[in-house]
Amino acid sequence: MLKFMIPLVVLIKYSKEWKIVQVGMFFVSFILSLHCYHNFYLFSVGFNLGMDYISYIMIMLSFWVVSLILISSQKVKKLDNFNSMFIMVNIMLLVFLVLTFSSMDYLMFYISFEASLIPTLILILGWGYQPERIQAGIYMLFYTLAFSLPLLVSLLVYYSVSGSLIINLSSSLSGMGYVSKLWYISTVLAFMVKLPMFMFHLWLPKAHVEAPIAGSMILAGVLLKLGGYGLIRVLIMFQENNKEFCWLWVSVSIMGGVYISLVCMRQVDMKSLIAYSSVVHMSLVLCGIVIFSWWGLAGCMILMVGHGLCSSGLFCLANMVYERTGSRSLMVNKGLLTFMPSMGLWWFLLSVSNMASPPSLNLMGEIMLILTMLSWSKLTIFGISLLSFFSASYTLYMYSLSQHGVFYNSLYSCCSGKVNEYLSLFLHWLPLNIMILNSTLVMI
Amino acid sequence: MIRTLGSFSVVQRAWAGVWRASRCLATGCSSAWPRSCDVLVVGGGAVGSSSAYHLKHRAGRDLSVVVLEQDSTYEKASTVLSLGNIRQQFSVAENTLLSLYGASFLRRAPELLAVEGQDPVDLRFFPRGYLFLATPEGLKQMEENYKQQTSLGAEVAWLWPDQLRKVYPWFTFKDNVVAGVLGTNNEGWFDPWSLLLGMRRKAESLGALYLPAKLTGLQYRQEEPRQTTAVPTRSLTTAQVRLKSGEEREISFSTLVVAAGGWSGEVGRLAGLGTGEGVLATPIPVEPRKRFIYCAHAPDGPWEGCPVFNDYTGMYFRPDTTRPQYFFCGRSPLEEEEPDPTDLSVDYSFFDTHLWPQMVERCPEFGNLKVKSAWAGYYDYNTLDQNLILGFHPVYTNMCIATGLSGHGIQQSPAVGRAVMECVVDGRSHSINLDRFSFDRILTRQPLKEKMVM
Repeated sequence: MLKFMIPLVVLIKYSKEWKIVQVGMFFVSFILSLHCYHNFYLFSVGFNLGMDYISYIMIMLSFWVVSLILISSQKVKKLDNFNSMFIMVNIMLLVFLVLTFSSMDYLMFYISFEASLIPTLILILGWGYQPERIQAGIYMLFYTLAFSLPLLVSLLVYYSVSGSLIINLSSSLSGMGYVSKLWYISTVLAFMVKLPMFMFHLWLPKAHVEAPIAGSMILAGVLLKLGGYGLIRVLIMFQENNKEFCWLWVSVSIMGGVYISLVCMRQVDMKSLIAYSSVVHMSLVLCGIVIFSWWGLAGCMILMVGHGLCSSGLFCLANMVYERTGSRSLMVNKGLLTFMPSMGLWWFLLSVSNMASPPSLNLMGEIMLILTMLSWSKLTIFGISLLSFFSASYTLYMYSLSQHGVFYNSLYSCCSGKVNEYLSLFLHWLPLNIMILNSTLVMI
Repeated sequence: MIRTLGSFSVVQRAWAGVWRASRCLATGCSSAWPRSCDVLVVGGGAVGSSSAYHLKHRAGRDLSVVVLEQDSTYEKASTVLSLGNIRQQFSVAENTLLSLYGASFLRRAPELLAVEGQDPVDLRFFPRGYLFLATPEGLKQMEENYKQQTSLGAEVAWLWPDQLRKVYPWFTFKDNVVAGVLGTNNEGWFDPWSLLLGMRRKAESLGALYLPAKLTGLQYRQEEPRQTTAVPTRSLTTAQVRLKSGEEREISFSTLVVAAGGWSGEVGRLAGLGTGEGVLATPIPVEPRKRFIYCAHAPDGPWEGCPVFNDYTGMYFRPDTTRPQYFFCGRSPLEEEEPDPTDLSVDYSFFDTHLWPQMVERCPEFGNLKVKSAWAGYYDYNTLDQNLILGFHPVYTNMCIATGLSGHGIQQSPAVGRAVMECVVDGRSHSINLDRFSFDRILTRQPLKEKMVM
């Protein structure tokens, strides 16, 4: 693992020159992608860090998304808005994320999980646009912290019970009545908030909308997956208890997903729409994890990767429009096909991936998850059908309202797309639509 | 050494930012500075507040609107210093339509501008009508205007001299008055302060943010033209404003609405209009021109049923319905006699030389009139043709100009606000087609003058 951590730390030294850091990030991603040994066993073990099949996918995703962040945030460099500190914060965030995903110890995982909040908060408060970002940062911080303190307690209790916090040495706890149920809830809630599940999702639209493009991309791309990844690791301990409770999580997620898709149709702020659609996707992911089926786990991994790339790409697009018109409101950004026809291609490709159309990773993930949920209970078909339908409808709503229609008069012309914007969107889309051809790379 | 010093100032700035953020959190986010907004309206007078109200009414929370008003007491604003007269007797058809909407807005104002938990708006609208008189030379023009006004829906009545004498026995009409047009409905006067405060209060309750700041700078971004023959355009991106405390701040916006009244020319100069080349050499041709209003007590004057009386010489008077036997009178001076607009001091001699003789000629009972007080206000005077300029600038494609109303602003402010809203949201004003009022006529020097201007 150190062979990836050390270059990262070294890149901090070069935070003054953007080009070196951008190239360096892509280079490390490349080296990481060559390191693709995942075949069910641990590899790259050392210093209590190691990768196995799930961690590798997530670390790859983190590196990729952060590289794309550095391309998309050209404006920070252009306006000279504390740009070296910006790079430092991003790299620090990536260090914590890699530590989280590669930690072989529950406590190390917890510490880096919490530590990744701090650079995110700094990104939102430091480079965000509106005064509401203060409230958004507070929401994100306190939602996550309040629910994860019980997680710390439960991990320490687990240590005292079983003597070790190494993830791979953990085993299922036998059911012990009320206490174990409480233990289970307090452990799992932290990740429900991070995912987020429907009732605990309030921080997400706020944080995604008020964050700058870098914050939105990392939040949608990787930080939400921390919840999924954590659940996968933690549920090893609570297999029996989970089977008693999974009906609760599945019902809340699916119905919540339906409600949130309806809420999505009402949004006028583009970023807010994409943020709510993240909740919908993650609700499917949650269902896949708690229903302990092989396809569920595979589907959730694929959907996490697909959603990470797709939402991050859509946030990029929304940011490009915002940089040109100065407003994120769909009332003002209409008829964009007239001005940026080439960008319309990327809007289309990423929007159809968002609504899980072939040949995107989202499609594969959703199909596997739908099959999982149906195998668990046929009643979920009602929720799933509504969720899929409205997911397509709000994506079409966003695409059609922004691209089609009479153009907005005061935007006479604008740059149709710079090369670095096309590069960033292409690199979002390529893995999303090509990896389905070799989906064992992202499956378990 | 320099590096550590630099990092220390970074730490200091970061701490100042955190401190300010914590203060904001303590007092609530609403007092925090809006670093960006969707629509920035420069000027919180009648047109600016009406634009903010209509934008918020249409879009609600979907558009963020910030209004810059440098003086919340409105000490020098044209809106509150005006008499609040409203008429539909214009020769340009669009003006009549704008005032008709204004009159219907005034009638519906108590319900439209109602804010929960606060007193309803009382506009004190007196629809007494406007009386315009015509000389033999102007008779044909008056007839054309009358036909157009009635076809557009204005309720005006044509009066021959014998009818005039019957309705207004106390006016003396000599032979050089051959006709008069009187508005029978929707013309008269109202309280401009109430309208302004009503619209502002409603806009603020719907979410518009009024900032007590003065615009000091504008920045733009050059856009590349789509074809080689197209005009290179610019997009305004950020505004620098100065608060009362002297602090300078910035706001970035998507659309700018210039509704600064008489100071719109200055706002245009901040963007470079008037100092550039080509299209940018033409400034916004609006400047403040001082006009006097005299308040006189005439114990024998014709107070009952008196309309807003407009003489063909340009002199006008109307009764002050708050105090019996008091009249407001005024007159537009000739170009050579324009008073100095640097301050709002009143020249009483203007009344004695230009107003009193005409008033006595029209109505001998004004003989023992005494001027009790007077004030001065600014017209946002459009030097080209004294009519509205509405629409987006051809080069600064997100600057919407809504000014130049030159004396008939307050009556058209609701309609102009609605037109601004339609320009911003729909791209053009479609309820009333105001394409003739676009900025292009300023560039091509084609004035759209009123054939009878007061």
